[in-house]
Amino acid sequence: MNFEIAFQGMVNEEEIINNIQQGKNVEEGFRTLMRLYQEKLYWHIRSILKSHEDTNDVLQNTFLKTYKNIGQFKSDARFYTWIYRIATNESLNFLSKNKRRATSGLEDHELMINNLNADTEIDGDKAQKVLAMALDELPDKQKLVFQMKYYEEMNYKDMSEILDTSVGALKASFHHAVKKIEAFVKNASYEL
Amino acid sequence: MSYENENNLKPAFKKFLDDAHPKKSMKVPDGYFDQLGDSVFDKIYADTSPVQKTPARIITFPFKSWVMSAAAALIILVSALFVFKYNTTSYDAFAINIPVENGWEYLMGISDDYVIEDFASLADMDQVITSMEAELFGNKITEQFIDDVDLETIEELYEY
Repeated sequence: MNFEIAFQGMVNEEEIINNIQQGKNVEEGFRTLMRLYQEKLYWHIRSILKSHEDTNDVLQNTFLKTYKNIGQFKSDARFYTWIYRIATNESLNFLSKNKRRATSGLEDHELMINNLNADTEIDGDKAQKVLAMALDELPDKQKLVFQMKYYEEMNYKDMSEILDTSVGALKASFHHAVKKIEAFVKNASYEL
Repeated sequence: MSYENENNLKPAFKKFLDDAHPKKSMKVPDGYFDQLGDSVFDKIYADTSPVQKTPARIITFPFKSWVMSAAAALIILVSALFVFKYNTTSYDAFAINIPVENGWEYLMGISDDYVIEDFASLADMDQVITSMEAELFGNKITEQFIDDVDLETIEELYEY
């Protein structure tokens, strides 16, 4: 389902953005935009960062950055892909900063498992742990492409705008990600 | 091999991925999305950076840089011409007011001096020329040389 189409007819997004840019009903308009995107963006960020606290910080920063820069948003672009791009960049920046801080010598997947076990909101289901480990083996961009395509059901055209990558490269990334995850799951003696 | 799902995955693998969907295990605190707007606006109003209360619309200047450069050069040129025109003292030779009598005295003074002294110098010039001729023709002055020529000799020459 196209997220953008789902909201068409309910809210005139373009008009709201135009009003905000002209200083009319700024807070009311921006709250409407937040309501439109908050849940989708939350899950997008959380699929990258895992923890709710980190996701909350990054999501709030995403909206803060969007608010500050909405004056620069050009009407010929799509707000949906623009805000997703901000959220993705914020998440990846957060991830790289935290990776640099992690100097305990643990391998990345061990850190991930520890995080999963420490998070009381995640149950101990084996499938999720295996998938988390498999995803953690992937390069950041491949992991992101897989999650956006498979779990967020985003089309390649939108992903291309958000990640600034060609559709062909995205398809290749997704294909490689699927093959690697499948191989990892088989090696983990998980019944497929 | 092709499977009947959008991403062309093996059914068992697809089932694994669906069972492992992150959303199934990750929970969101109750009322989180209802309060998110307030939390964000608290941050916006607490933020001390200059662009906080009203998002600024960026105004892009519609002219290209070379047009701007040409306009700047033209302004400088026109300004320079104005400055040059009003800060330069010009002298008009015809505008200088010299009393007529002063000019007349000046001109008369020159002509008097010139005439008297030059006539005197011209009288001396005769002597100078004579002495130069004497040098040239071995102390024979021109008149004497002509007198020495025999008239008969001249007639003979004409007969030839």
